[in-house]
Amino acid sequence: MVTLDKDEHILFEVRKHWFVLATEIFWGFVALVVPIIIFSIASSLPVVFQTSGNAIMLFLFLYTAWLLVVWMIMFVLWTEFYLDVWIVTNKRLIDIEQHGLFSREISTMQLTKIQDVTSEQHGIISTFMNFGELRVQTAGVEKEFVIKNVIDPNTLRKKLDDALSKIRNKESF
Amino acid sequence: MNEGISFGIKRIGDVFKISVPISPSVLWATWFILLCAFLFVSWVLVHHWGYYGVKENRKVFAKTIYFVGGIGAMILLAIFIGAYSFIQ
Repeated sequence: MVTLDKDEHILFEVRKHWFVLATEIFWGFVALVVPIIIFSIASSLPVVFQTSGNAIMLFLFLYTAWLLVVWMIMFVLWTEFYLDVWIVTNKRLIDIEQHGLFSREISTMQLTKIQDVTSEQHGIISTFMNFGELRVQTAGVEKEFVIKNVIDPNTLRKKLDDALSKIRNKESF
Repeated sequence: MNEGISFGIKRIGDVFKISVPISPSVLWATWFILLCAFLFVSWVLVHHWGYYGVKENRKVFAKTIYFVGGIGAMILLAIFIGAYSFIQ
């Protein structure tokens, strides 16, 4: 939760590209297939498993339990993805880093202190999917702000540059 | 009659019988642990979505999908435990 000053408003928010989340969700789907593969391998083995009840129902129970665990992990990943954000206001850059559910780091930087904004894209996937890295530096030895795998870093750099130009020219926005 | 040694899959399968004595009460205990985990994760997620400012429409959408899937899975699990005991 971020509290803004009275004369402060949000210009834009910066999040990671959906491809990052899609990659994590893909592994979730792989995790759903694994028990089916294990079950089909186990059923072809020359071993007879005797249970005290219906074996198919036991498998369905275990598979659904696994499904529920993966389901919860998926939503934890989405929450982590959604809450990991840069908020750019007309005064500050607020960097919120969400690591899992119980680790959260918030840093702020005055826009007036920003000296350099750099966008970088490396590799085939990031070029075609249009995501990359955005880094913001100050003149001093303060912490450098870096957000990786961000959507359209070049446009975001231009938007940030525009905001900085307005501040330098003392325009209200 | 001497049956000899057979390497056929069915014969070996007859030899290697593994008994898995899982009673329905073990499954109910597992279900209860899962229920506790689900309630805890739900509480944390709903808190985060509300407190850290997830947009209202996304919050409603995420809550609907999450709880329909989660509660549906819990109900299915209970049905499978019942079926495990009664269907032989």
